[in-house]
Amino acid sequence: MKDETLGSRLKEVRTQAGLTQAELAERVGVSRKTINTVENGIFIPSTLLALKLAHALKRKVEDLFFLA
Amino acid sequence: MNDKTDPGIFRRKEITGLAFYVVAAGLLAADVLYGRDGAWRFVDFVRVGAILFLALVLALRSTTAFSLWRRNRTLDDELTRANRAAAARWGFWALMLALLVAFIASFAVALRISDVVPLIFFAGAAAAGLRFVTLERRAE
Repeated sequence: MKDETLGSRLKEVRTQAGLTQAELAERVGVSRKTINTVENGIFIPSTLLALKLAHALKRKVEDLFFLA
Repeated sequence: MNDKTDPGIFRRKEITGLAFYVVAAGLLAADVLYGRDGAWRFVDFVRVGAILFLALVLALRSTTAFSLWRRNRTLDDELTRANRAAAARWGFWALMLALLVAFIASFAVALRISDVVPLIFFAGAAAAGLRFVTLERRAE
C-alpha cells in the first residue's frame, strides 16, 4: 500500500481570502504556529480543526486538504 | 473554540489527575528515600503536605497551558497537545531504556535504589523536555 500523506492548499486559500496566519488563527481559536505547521505539512490537523479552518475560510474541507 | 465542542477538555482533566498522582508519588518516593528517618513528627506531616501541594501545582501547570486559574487556549491548542503527547512517549521510552540499563548494570555493579531512581526519572524527564522543545521549535 502506497504511503499517503495530507496535502494542503491552506496557504493558497488563506492568501486568497486576504488573511494573515495570525488572523486565521484568531478566527479558529488556535495559535499562529498551528496554522504555520499545517500549511507547511508538519502537522496533520484533526477533523475538528480541518472543519473549523474550512468554515473560517468559507470553503469545503476538500478545497483545503487532499491526499498526496 | 468552545470548550463544549472540544473533546480535549475531558482528556485534559484525566491527564491532570493522572499527572498529580504520578508527580506526588515521585516526590513522596524521593522524600521517603532521602528525607525522613525514625518516627513521624509534625514537621514530617507538614513536609508531606507541602510536597502534595507542590505536586498539585506542577500537575496543573504542566497540563493547563501553564495557567493555574484559567486555560490559555492559544497556548494549549491542538498542536501543543500533540507535541506534549509525542514528548511524553519519548519520555516513557527513555525511562524504560534507563530502567533496562540499570537492571542490566545491577548484575555487574552493586546499585542502590536511592542512587538509581533519580537518574531513571531524570532520563525520562529530560528526554520528554528536549523532545517537546524540539517539536515546538519546528513550528517557528
